[in-house]
Amino acid sequence: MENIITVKDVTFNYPGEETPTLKGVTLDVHKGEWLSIVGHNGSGKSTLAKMLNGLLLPSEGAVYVSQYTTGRPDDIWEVRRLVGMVFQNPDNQFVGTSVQDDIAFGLENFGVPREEMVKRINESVARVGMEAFLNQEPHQLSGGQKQRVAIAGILAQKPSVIVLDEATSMLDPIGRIEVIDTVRELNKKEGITVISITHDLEEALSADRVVVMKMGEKAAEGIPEDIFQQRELLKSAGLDLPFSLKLSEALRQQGVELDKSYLTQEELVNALWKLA
Amino acid sequence: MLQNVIIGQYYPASSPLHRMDSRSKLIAAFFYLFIVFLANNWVTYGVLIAFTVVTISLSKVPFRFLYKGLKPILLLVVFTMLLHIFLTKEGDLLYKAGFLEIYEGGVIQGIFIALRLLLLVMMTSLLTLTTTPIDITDGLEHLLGPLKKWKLPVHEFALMMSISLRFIPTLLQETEKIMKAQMARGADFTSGPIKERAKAFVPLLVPLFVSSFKRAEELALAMEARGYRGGEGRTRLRALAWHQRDTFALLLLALLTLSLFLLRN
Repeated sequence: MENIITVKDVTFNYPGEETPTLKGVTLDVHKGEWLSIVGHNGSGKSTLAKMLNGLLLPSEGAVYVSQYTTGRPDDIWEVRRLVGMVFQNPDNQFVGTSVQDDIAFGLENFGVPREEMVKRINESVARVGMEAFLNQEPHQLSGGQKQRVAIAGILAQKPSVIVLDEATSMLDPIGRIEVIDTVRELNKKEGITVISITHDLEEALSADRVVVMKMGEKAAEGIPEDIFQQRELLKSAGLDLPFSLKLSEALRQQGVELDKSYLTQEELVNALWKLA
Repeated sequence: MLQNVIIGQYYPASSPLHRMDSRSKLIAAFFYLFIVFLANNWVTYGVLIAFTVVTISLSKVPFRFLYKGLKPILLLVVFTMLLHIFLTKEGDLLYKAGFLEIYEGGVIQGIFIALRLLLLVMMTSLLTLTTTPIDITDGLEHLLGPLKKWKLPVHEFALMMSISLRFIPTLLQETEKIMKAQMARGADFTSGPIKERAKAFVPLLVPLFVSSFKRAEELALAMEARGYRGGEGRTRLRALAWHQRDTFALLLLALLTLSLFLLRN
């Protein structure tokens, strides 16, 4: 499969800190996949995310995005256009005074002509279902809506990859679903690669692949079903198992006859109501 | 209590003044600051008043909104007027009571100065009443654009302004939240002597400051992630459009200046 991002042997030290935040991380991101990077606070997952669009540059090793290298000053702007990033706090990434001004911010930075800008704004705002809010101001929007505007701002730049850096952790459950559904649709229908950085394993369930980060190193990599079998590993990485998994396990211990431990609530419910 | 915050004092309406380009309004308001000083007799003040009244009625801004802008300076107006009435000793003596002497020249001077102040404040508030803060920022950035040649950070200044405007409601909401949190733990912001009340605001301001710095840092990162690299080579979505009415308005102002020159003593 074609790689869109290659992280090669990346080590990173924050200036003035003894132990490196990332230690020799190597990672391939395939085109069009949904990759979840999970880990506890301080596992280096957010640092790794900032490596992907050159907000941080590796102390050793290299990060390649498509044919570009984040470490090359000539490439950095193209890298940032290709790899869009949605941050944790919905308010602190809203630059414009209104929805359309905010979506325009990125386009203005890249010198897109005005007519083209208007076209792209209207198009990307429709892709996240926020057409009706073009002239709204940020304080009139919910957290989930602000995050969708952030996604629209990235879409307008015609990216290949969207990185969600804990983008749903400050949202209420409805906002979380809004954002995840929006991103899933972009991933499935338009083939945009999604990398979601999270400590919430529930969110990682919808991924094609999961990477577990622990103490600045890659502890495991694989499809969700395999990763979630590795109890001890997840526990030692400080991660909490998804609720349906824990429930099905507890039920099995109580003697309820389930075939396996189910990852999603829907699977579990379906298995439960079929029980005699 | 901080619901429905209106930033600045913009009065939304659809009037010829609202539709004018912010640049022409800025130029006109700035120019007006100077030509007010040309008036020095009844005729010229009459012309100025007529011009101002017509402009205000064109703007469709209700007078009470203008009055809100005038209120803080009314005291100053009355004070300077009285000062002139009592201290200027020109023309005929009108009234004398003990050491108090009021001359005709003093009364006229007092009225003129008061009129001048009122006209100035009304016209400048009209600018902010008919133009959104963000349009004023855009207009200023355009007008000051040539100063970039002398390394003046015009773009950065405008961006700072627009980001501040964008964050005012956010910070107000946050202030309210912190206030409620402190009140829930027994803080009292509303009673007691002024010194106590000022002290009560310290636990409000500290968290607000800390979080603002955090916001600034995160915002800078988000801007960088979206390819921000200064004003060079940037295009813009907000387009200012100079129409005929803008040229016409400035011509009218020039005509006013000319007539003031001809009619003054």
